This record gives sequence, structure tokens and C-alpha cells, in this order.
Amino acid sequence: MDAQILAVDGVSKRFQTVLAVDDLHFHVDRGEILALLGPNGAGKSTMVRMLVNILRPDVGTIRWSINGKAGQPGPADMGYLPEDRGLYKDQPVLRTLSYFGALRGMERKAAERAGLEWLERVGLKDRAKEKLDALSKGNQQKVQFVASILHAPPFAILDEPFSGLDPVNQELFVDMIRGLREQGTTILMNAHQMNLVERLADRMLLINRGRAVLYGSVEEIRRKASAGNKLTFRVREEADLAAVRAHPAVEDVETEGRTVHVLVRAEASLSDVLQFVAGRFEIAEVHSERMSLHDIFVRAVGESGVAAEGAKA
Amino acid sequence: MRATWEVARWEFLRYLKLRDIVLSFAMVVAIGLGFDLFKSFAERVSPDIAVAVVGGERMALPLREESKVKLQPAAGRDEAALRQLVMDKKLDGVLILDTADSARVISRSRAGWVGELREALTAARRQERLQASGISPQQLAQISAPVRFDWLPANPKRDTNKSGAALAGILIGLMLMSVFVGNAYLFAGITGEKQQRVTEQVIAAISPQAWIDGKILGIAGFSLLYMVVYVVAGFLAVLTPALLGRSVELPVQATNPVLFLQFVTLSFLGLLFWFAFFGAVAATIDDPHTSQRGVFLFFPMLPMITAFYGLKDPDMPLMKVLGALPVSSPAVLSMRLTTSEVAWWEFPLAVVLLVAGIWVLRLAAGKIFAVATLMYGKEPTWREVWRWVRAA
Repeated sequence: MDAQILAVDGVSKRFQTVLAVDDLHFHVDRGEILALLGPNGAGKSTMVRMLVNILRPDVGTIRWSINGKAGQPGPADMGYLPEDRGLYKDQPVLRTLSYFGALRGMERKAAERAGLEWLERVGLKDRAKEKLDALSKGNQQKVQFVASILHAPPFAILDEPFSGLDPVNQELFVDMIRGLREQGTTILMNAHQMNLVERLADRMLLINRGRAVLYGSVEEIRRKASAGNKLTFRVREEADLAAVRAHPAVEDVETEGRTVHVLVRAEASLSDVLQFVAGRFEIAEVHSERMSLHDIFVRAVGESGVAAEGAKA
Repeated sequence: MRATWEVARWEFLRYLKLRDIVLSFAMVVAIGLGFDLFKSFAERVSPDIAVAVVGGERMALPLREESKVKLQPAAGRDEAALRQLVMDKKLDGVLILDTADSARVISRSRAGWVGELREALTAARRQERLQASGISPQQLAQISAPVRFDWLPANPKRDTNKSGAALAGILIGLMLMSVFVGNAYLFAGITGEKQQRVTEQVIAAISPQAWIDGKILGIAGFSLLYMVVYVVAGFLAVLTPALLGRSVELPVQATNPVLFLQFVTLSFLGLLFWFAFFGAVAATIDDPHTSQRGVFLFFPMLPMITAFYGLKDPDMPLMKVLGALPVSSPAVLSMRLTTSEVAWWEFPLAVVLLVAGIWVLRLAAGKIFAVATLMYGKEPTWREVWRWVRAA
């Protein structure tokens, strides 16, 4: 069986004057979670719509290999939670789930059984006969999620699964997505909650202005982004940070009052920088952390934006 | 095909409310029965009408046996006094016979019995004149009898009289109502799905063609069910008085099962035809509250109205043509089948053309639906819509 469930090669898509997706290459391995990241308008939703065959690429190929079958997956082979989503608010929850299961190729009775099992898992079994409108927004989101993966597809696309959820429900969704992967579903996920993405994704593809910016596992991305450590300290009095900025191991310095954030290059020694700083200032408090995915994301998007502007100029 | 049936089932059940069907059924039966009961009750309980006659010695008034008008002499009271009695509601009216050729009536309103008095006076005067001229009523009847003129329908099993036309009118009305009601559901359903953002999740699972086909089928089935419920309830309402011992006359077409099947077939195909058209229009609407395209809802009225016009002469050449065209055949041919003799090939021809029309329209609807249903924030122009259909 092919290790790659999906391979995207040189795909581009233009809408009138906007090049929404520009020569994208990536693949999704069987059983993994690939996170598709990018700022608003980066081209993620366009790429996703090409994957679900709502849009066609102008150039490039999208190759599938699900359960040994090539070509666009059938309804039963794919689950899809769109970003722009909603359900029939005037219909009972279980009937809605059963309908979406049937559209995805399930027998109606099996869809109803699976629907009840999932509703129990998300704590909504006792509300199965209520109309969707009677549920809170978070609970509607749960039903929406269940409707998209009820048929246990081998591949699922989850576009912004955490949007609109409170922290408790975000954790529930993290567990459900993990559970989905454990049952054998390969997942392509698009989300803005970097802390959750970092916990779930095996690999990531960061795109900006339709182009790939970073691609690989979290560790690979850290390496490619030269993501070092962040040293944060608080000084007792106003300090001249020019010398710190000039240090060869320091990539960037930011201040918030007397709190100083020093971004140390990946290959540099953290203790060298710490000694350097401690020799010049009286430090009241200090701690260090790895550069977060959020910081990597913001920096990479910023750099790719500057590069694009430069290329245009 | 499976997806189409799943959607059809969903759309059918989505709007089907068993309680509403039972209620509609009961209401039609109750209205029919209620009208019949009210009519007989009103006749039984309405009070006598007291009318004082001044100059009643001039002639005797031959009132009908079942008449509620009771004449009484004025007993010497003058006109003013009698008028006061009417005002005080002690009398319902006063009839003043001035001469054999002129009379006046005083009453609080121009009620139906005033006309009855006029007819009675005319009859009494005619009787007087006949006696004066020596002509017996039998002789008069012979003189004024119209020429006997019998019209024989070619098919004696077919009743082409007024009750047949009334039945056709009711059927066309029912069809029109079903098209409007179904269209309203289709419009609300499609625009609602767009507004509630359901479309992308469904389109990712099944083809737009399967989706629109299922919608058209489901809502046509739902509308047809309501039509049949009204027809059956109407029959029940008409027939129940017969069980209560009153005489009920039904046009022979009403009990013709072949005609009923033909009507159901034409209605169902007509619903599919119009819903394919409206499905495509509804998909292009972004916001039903501001769109001007709701006016398309009234499109089926024109061909339906031509069917009403055709009741005057169902066999005119124009009606034969309209009876074959898919836009008008469901109503016009139903009307012709009910009120006239139709060549054997007309029904199958209309069915074939309707099926072909539905097929073309559903394909066009599928193409329009595929693009338009995912468009948010703007309505496509008709030129764009036409381009999609041609490009497909």
C-alpha cells in the first residue's frame, strides 16, 4: 500500500487578478496529521476546496491513493469539515447526523448507531432528538464535527476545527482528533491555534500568498526557521541594550518596560549570552524558553512577505 | 442515484408534518361538511318574513310553497303607520299595490324576499291577463315553450356539463396551489442552505446534480402528497352529505380512475418541471429578503390561467397546442381531459415532451446550481448564468 495518501505537485489557482495558490508541492502520509497553516488570505481554503473537488487547479496535479484506489476519493473515503459551515437548524440532531452519514455512503441504520455513539462521546446523547437550533454554539460545533467524520473516513480535512470553542471544548476536540487518528484516519488540518496545532500535528505546511514558506515536522521547521531560544530577563534599572543587540549570538532584542526578550540564534550558546548579559546589568528575574511556533509563524510570514515585496520591486 | 434518493427522502421528510396533513385533511372535510350543514340549518331556522299588503284585494299573490314570506292585510293602517311598524321591527316589510302594473315595497334593507315578491306579482299579473284574454295556462305554456334541443356528448360516459368544468377548475386550482407551495419550500430551502452555510459540506459529499435532483424529487413528492390529500378530503366532504341522506351529484369524471391517474401523472411531471426551473433560480439568489428574483415565483401563473380560459372552449386549436407544451400541458391537458374528448396520442405526447423538458431543465439547473450555490455576497448576472449553462 502506498505510504502517501495524497500528493500535490505544482498546483496553482488564479482568480481574476489574484494568484491564490502558487506552485504548491506537498504530500500527506498515511496515518499522519498534517497542519496547513497560513495567515488569512494565504490560499489555504482555496487549496482545501481543490482537494475536495469544489474547485479545479489551473495547473499541477493532485494524486490520491486511498485504500489502493487512485483518483478523487468517493464520498465514503473522505470527511470534510469546512471553514464556512452550518447545519439544518430546524432539524433534529440525530436525523441530521444520519442524513450526512447516508450522503457519505453509510446505511441509514448504521449512520444512526454511529451518530448515537458519537453523541454519547461528546455528551449530547440525551439531546439527540432536539433541533440543532436548541443547542449552544459550542454544541452545534460538536455536531458539525461529528457530521463530517461519522462515517470513519480514511482521510479527513478539518478546516478550523477549534474556531469558536472555549478552552474546555478545545481540549475535547484535541482528544477527538487524536482518537480519529488512532482509529486510522489520516488528517489534513487547518487551524490558527498554534499551541493546539503543535500538540497534534506530525508535520506542517506554512503557506503565505499562495506559496509554501515552511514545510516539515515541527523539529524540521524549527531547524529550517533557525528557531533558537528566547531569553527573557527583567533588569533593575534602565539599561542600554546596544551591546546586547550587537552580540553575534543575538538575533533580535525586544523590550517591554524593564523586561527584555532576547532571541538567541539556534546554533549559539545560551549560557554565553546569559553570562554576557549578567556581566552588564543587574538582573532581577530571568527565564528561557524555546521559540514558540507562533513566533516562528509570525517571523516566517513576515520574512516571506518582505521577500515577495522585494521580488515585485 | 443513491445520493439523489437520500436527498429526496430528506427533503420530503424535512417538510412533512403528519400533524399538518391530518389537520389539512380534517379542515377540508370540516369546511365542506360545515357549509352543507350550515345551509340546511339556516333554511330550517330562518324566521318567517311578515309583510303587510296594502291593496291586496287587487290580486292574489302565488308565493312558493316553501317561501318564508307571510303576507298579512294592512288592516286599515296608513302608509306612515306601516312604515313606523317596519322601523320598529314589528313588520319586515310593506307591499303597496298601487295598480295592477305598479307596486312599492318598504323594508329596512333590500333583502332577497323583495325579489321573490316581484316574481310573484309578475306571475299574478300574467295570470290575470291570460284570464282576460281567454288563453288557458296550458295554451300559454305551449306558445312560450322553447324548441327542444338535445345535446348528446359523443362519449356518454363523459360528463361535459358545467359540473365537469367546475371539476377541471378545481383541479387546475389545486395544481397551481401545489406549484406555489412547493416553490416556496424550494426557495426557502435553497436560500436557507446558502445562508446557513450548509452547501459546502453537502457539495463535498455528493455532486450538485444529485443534490438538485433529490431536492426537485423530494419537494415534488411532498407537494403531490398534499394535492392528493386535498383531493381525497374534498371527495369526502362532498360525499359525506350523501351518507346523511341528502342527494349529491358528482360529475362522472370524478369517479374515473384513469382520469385520476392521468391527472396525478401530469401534476407530478408539472411539479418536477417547475421545480427544476425554480431550483436553478433559487441557487442564484444570495439574500431572499433583498433579491428581486422572487418574482419568478409567479411564472407558472400564465400557463395555468390559459387553462382557465380554455374552459370556455377546450377544443380550440390553441388549447390543443398548449396541451402538448411542457410549460402548460399539466394544467391545459388536465382541463381538456376533464371537459372534452381528447385524442389517444395527446396524453402520451404531453408526457414525453414533459419528461424531455424536465431532463433538459434539470441538467441546466444542475450546472447553475453547481456554481451559484457556493457564491456568497453577490448574485450572478443572467449573462453569467447563461455562460455557465453553455460552458457545461
